[in-house]
Amino acid sequence: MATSLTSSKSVGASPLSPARHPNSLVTVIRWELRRLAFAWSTWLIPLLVFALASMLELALGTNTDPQTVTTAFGVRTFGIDWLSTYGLFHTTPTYLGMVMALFIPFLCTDAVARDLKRRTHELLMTTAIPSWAYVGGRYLVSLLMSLGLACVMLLSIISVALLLHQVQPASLSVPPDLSNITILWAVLFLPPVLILSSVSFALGTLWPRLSMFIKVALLLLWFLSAPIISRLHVGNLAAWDPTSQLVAQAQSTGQMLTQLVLQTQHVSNQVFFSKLYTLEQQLPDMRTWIIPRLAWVGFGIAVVILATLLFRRFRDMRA
Amino acid sequence: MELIIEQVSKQYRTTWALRDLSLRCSPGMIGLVGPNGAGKTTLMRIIATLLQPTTGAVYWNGKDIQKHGSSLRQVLGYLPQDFGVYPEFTGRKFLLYLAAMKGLPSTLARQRVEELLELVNLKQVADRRLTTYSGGMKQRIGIAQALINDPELLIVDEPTAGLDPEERVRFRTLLASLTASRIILLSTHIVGDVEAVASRLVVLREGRILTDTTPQGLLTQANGKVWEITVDPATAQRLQMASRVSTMISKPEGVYLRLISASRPHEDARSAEPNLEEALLAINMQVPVL
Repeated sequence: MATSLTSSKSVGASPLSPARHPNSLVTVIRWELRRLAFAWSTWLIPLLVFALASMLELALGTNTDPQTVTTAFGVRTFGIDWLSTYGLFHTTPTYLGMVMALFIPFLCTDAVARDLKRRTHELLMTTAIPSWAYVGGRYLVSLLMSLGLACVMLLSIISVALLLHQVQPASLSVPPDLSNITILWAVLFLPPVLILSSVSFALGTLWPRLSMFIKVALLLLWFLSAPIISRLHVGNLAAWDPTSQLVAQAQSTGQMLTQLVLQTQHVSNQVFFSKLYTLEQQLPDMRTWIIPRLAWVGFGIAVVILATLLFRRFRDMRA
Repeated sequence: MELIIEQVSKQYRTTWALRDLSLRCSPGMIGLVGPNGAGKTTLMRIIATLLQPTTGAVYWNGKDIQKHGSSLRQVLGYLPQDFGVYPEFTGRKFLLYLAAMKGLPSTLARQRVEELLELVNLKQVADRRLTTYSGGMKQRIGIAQALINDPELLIVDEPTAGLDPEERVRFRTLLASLTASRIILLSTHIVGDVEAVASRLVVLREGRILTDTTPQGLLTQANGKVWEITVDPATAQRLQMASRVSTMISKPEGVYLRLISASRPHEDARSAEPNLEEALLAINMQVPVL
């Protein structure tokens, strides 16, 4: 401590006029992003997610899964291209959803809880930053991280599909349809990312001391929700499955094969395969699933707003 | 500029950490002293808007901080007893971060950070990650962040813990230079810290104010209660059992003792001038609290 505070130019002469926070939300976001940029995990996690997602896509893309269809011309054997629109519709929410559920609760639950664990909470809570800006800023950054991971997964799907189409065109004769892949990702994959991020963040903010329990509980719930909902047998609940897994299962391989048989009873092999590729690249009608997904996203945002309103700067605990 | 604490009580489950505590503070330094569990940290955390009192209220410039906490936080500097840092940041970045959270414009923040880094003698290591800092360096970063917005109310809880003697003296001098235009609440176990700089001493025990006085007033209260004597080891042991010993030094001529006692503890004991530490021990031996 080298000099006297009062001798310094801006400190000590007289206390400052009250601090104002015209851009408090932007300040929180900017500094949280800056902090994350210095953390090695911020760069490692996307790499890990890309590697895991690509491995899964590679495994799916190279799995020919032979199917047989009996037609007037005899039995036809073919493989389903799991990186086609049809294949990705089936696999994205389940396989990539699994990768997402493994990472997102761990990224988002601690966005505010981390300050209590690291004991930086008291330093921050005695600053002039408004609670709404602190919580809101942390949420938006954790959401940005989650969306970033979702984009990494989209990138891995596209990369693997393009790569496999180049190296083994025989088994993947359908060229990847990038617009279909993006639509599927946006409708089936993004809403679960938003829901899981928001719920993880809100619960971690409200009960920071239970953050590990919350992460594990959300992870389990994510994996169990599809089997639980499917056992309820109440109306069309599949559309309301927040994980999109039941939506993905709604159009089964069997249904596609039935359709294929109906369309190719009396056609040549060439026409058969042409019909198969057309069916594989067809986007399913997703209109009925959009509203439930939007409702879930709305729910996610609502719980975050609730967590912001209920957030307490003070913690009733002994020092 | 006035801080009023009005009949504040704080209960944790079945334990009362503070009981009907009232205090009025104007610019200057107030030293909060007392044994562990006296309620010093609880009181500071209530004033810093980190805890809600069970009953009572705290007013900053006439406004209840429960309802108008933001107006207090705008002019507050707080150094907790125990705090963490972001391991991702360097010392400089951490201070810039907290300056931003305190609402300082970036140009002013950069200027203050440089001044404070120099002030707390961390300029040379300012670009090192906080994980590489020693306990004392971390404490100095804590002091710097508390001062970054040039607060009107500065609350420092055990600020010199972890500092070496030279840094401790510098910190005291620094605090002394700040007292004119702000209220400083300093809690410490180290009597030397308050003795050197506090104009007012508030002694807490079991959540209540034992005495609210000046260092000189406390010394006056302890007059006639401090005794010194040089005796053989056996007598020294006996006296140690019977009275409170503040000093014990083995010398060639016997054992030199300084004792706290309301009455003469031994016929050879001489009345001695109390120091502040002994005055605190003496006041703590009194049973009734204010």
